[in-house]
Amino acid sequence: MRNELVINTTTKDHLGSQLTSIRVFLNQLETHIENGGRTLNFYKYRWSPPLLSVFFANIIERYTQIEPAKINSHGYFKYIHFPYGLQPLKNNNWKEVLNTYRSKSYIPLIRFPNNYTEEARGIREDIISHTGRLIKEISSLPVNYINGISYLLGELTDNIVEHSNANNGWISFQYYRQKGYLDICIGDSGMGLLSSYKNYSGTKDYSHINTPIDALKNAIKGESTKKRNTNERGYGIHTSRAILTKGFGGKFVMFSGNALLINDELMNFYCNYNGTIAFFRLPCKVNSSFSIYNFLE
Amino acid sequence: MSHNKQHIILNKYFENQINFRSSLSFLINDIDQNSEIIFDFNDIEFISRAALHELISYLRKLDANQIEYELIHLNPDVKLMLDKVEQSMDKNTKSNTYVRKLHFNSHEDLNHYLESMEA
Repeated sequence: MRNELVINTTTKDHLGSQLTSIRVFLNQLETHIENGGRTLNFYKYRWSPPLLSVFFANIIERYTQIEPAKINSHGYFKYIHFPYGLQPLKNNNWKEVLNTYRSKSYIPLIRFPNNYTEEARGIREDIISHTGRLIKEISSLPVNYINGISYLLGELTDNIVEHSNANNGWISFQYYRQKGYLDICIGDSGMGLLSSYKNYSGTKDYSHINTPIDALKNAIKGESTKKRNTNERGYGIHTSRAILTKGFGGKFVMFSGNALLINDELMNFYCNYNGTIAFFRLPCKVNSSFSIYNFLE
Repeated sequence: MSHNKQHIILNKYFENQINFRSSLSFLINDIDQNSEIIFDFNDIEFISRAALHELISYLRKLDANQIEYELIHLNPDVKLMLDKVEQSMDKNTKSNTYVRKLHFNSHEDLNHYLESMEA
């Protein structure tokens, strides 16, 4: 029995390759755990774009019985705070730390608290506002684009807080200046979309939602599991996808359980992720007529 | 009713954005509803749809209870967002959300699809 699983992910920024790496890893992880494996060996892991950073941070957070090993703790990984993230609840100087990234093309992996204490609420608000401001400074995008990005950040992180039941959420950002796009990833290792529907106790009937694919389809359609305001339609994911794909001409990816959504295409991911991850790839070729208000219903 | 006014200066609680429904809900829970309420949006540049939904739901309760309130110093983007969310709350219809299901027969077919994606 091999007691360690070597992480062997793509070194390309190609989105499909990153998703394939995740799918292959998740299937290996399942076997590894079944066989009593205890270690994830990161010695081959040399590059950690937002999607993979958030993904592995959540894996390490969720599977506490598994130790990450041989993560290069110097240089690049130290700067991006991989895999434990910048943790504002534990680091009072987190704003100063974040401000040192103004001249870089990325921000560190950030772990934000997900509970309802006054302190956590305040920190969460500040993190998202600060992140939006840094993205604006790093990318030099105009206000109409920054409003769109703020909308995406706000709605998707709010979904984590409201529905995931996770202790923390994670966020990561990278600007590919020469390639002309930016990546943002937000995720959690919480109960996932299907459990959110299964645990719903409001007035709507969600008994027809029985698989992660059903759940992701209904989440996109705006079938909300909020217990308060039970007549409210959830617009967060629906509008975020429209802003990103139709407004920015970008890529919207979301996966939970074995369900994978890429823009408007929903499919079996042939693996299982416990939690939910949302990823945006946003082209930075500016369209001056873009306005998020054209996409708000 | 008392003529006292409560002046809620939002930038005392938020940097320049209000991102979370729960933050606004927390703030609203502490408001004394026995006097006129002024929500001051000075320096607030962005407010999320979820947070606005929470605020508008609260304002409608104030309306129902005939409690006076004012929203002041709204920047044009925040005002536009507020109007949009308010309109959408009054709508019973919603646009269709298009989702196309793809079926792959194997991991290999899915891999091929993913690897052939643009970017």
